[in-house]
Amino acid sequence: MPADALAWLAAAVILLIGTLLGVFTRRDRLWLPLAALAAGLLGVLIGVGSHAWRPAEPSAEALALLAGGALVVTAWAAPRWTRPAESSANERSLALAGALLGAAALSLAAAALAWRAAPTAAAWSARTWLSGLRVVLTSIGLGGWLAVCAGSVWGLWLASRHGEFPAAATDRGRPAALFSYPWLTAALLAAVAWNLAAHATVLVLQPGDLWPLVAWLLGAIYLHATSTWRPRRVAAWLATALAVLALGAAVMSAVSVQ
Amino acid sequence: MASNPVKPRRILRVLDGLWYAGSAPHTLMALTALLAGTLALAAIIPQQPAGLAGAAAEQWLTGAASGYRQAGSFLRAAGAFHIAGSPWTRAILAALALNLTLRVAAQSSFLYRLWRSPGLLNAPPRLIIQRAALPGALDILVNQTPPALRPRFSSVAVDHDADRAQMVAVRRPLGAAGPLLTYAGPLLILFGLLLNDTLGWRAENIVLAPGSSTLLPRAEGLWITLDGVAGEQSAPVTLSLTRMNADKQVRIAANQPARWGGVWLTQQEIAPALAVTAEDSSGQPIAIQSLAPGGEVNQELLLLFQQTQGEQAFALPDRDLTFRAVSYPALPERNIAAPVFLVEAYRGADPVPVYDELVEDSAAVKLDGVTLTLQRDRYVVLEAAALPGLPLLLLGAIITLAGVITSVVYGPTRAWIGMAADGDAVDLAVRAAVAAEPERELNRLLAALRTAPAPVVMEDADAG
Repeated sequence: MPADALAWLAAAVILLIGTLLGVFTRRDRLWLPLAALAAGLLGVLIGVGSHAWRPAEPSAEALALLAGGALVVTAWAAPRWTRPAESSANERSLALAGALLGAAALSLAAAALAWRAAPTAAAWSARTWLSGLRVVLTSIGLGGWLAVCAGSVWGLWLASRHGEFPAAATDRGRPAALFSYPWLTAALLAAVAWNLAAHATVLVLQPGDLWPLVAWLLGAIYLHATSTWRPRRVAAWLATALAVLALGAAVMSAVSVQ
Repeated sequence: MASNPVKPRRILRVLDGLWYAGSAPHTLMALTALLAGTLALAAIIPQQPAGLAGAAAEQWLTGAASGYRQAGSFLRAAGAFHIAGSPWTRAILAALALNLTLRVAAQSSFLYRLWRSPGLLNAPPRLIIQRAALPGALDILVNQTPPALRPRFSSVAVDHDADRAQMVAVRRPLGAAGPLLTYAGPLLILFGLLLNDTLGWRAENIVLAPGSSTLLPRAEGLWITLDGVAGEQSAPVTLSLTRMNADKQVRIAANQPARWGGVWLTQQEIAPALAVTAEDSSGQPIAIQSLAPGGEVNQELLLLFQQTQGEQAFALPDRDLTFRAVSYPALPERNIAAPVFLVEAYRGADPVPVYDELVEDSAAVKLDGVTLTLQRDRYVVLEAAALPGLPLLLLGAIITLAGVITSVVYGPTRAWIGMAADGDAVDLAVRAAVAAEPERELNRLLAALRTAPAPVVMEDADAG
């Protein structure tokens, strides 16, 4: 088994353990799933780092980086999922578990692709500092939607459990979306620079370029719908649906990387 | 002259209604959703490659439509294989441009009012309200609250009478420029795209062999000459660019474009080529015919090999000889690490080759009194484009990024504190408009109000 697939498989297993810890532990042991998050992120980065010596399967690497970006944003967003003095703080680890489960699934898919598919030397030789910058920005910008989904779905679940009818302005995924959206915007700017350098155009009508743009547009709608400056009459489930669609676009973007 | 006072009012009402509908955030959200759906469709359905025209475009469209069986003809008629240029996409982008223009106007007006007189602005509806009760007299609390809020808010406006007080506190009012920039940036991007679409041009698959030239008529008569190729695949190439009154030499490589005036040049591919000449025993050149579609008869032939087309054929019609050449990037089983050509010759209709050799750099083949000279060469595929809207587009992208970062990091915060005397206590209703997590801001506000002598007693937390 190649080194990258092995590292990503290990990351997936660690993240799955983190998921179980998140489900079965409570606030007093929140450091356990967070430790799994850190170890999983390390595994993802080791797998990506191994591509300095050998060619990579582009989609596998993109999926692993998506998982890495999701973990970074999750670490940032986890303390912001609960509200001050909220009785549901004990259940925050469930949202964390959801995010870790999603990242584990992405890492597992990356490991499977890296194991089965043939790496392409062409993608390896085409790497420049600009493409590297684009990859880093895109991974955080798109991966963040997993954390947004986890927070948003968890908020909906809490509301239904308490018999509430929440509005989109109370969506718990908003802090994560606010964190990741500037990264995604910068990633699109880097994509424009890359397309200019490689093809003398600003937008290539290929899935690898179009899906991040779709995620960015869905993100713009999500941020408008969940605005806390001027709350809108939008149902909370619509915000969650937007977050899920944006995550779908992020995954499609990783899968369609050439 | 009699006038009808109702008519102008009705017109104004209609115009006002159109203004509000056109500038509404919900309209922006709906148009953005339509654009996202359209682009998602473009990502799912294969799009016609740029540069295809005429019969080649027709052939591509027929092939693409056949992949969707009965729905193919509908998709083709609806322009689904060329979504970027379809009237549907253009209509969405035009409507978005109009909406963004109105949003810029509305947000500019809001920014001006927030900066000049923040106290006059009412709280938006549907903000979360947190209620509390403080023991003490209203006058004392009204006097104590502004100093308690000042460390976190740059301006605090107070309006009160004997029984009630209303305070408006604002932090980072200029942060409202963030959303303004996020509307202005995409608007500039749309104008940039419009300029590129109307005034720009694009030339794809420009094939140049060393020493050959091509003319770009749309680039004010620009001639491009390939001076030399440094190596294989992504190696740099040297080009001479010549116009009527000026010339310039540039070097480009894969992902390292060159720009001259408004023209961008990028290198797509360096691929192997095989130069072929033939002469008889007296040294007279013999005509060679390329067997590629539309192949010409010439005294010298340059066979171009692509990644998808590694095999070429040519013939010497006068001598009834046919040749087949196959390009390989390397043949490790023959200990050849560099690009190599397999050349085979056939006489008449005989399927058995009369000549079968590998050519690495050059070879001279003598056959039936003919000397065939084969010389390995390379050719370069270029793309050229004029993007007159690029400065506007890049400026718009940078402004959008600046707006997003400003909104997230330096977004404005406004708080409204309502006070009402209730016997020996004062009822508080606190609301806050912030970038995210309004509950935390409300908690911090109430903590600041606790600087008053009496403790705060929380009564209720409710969505308003």
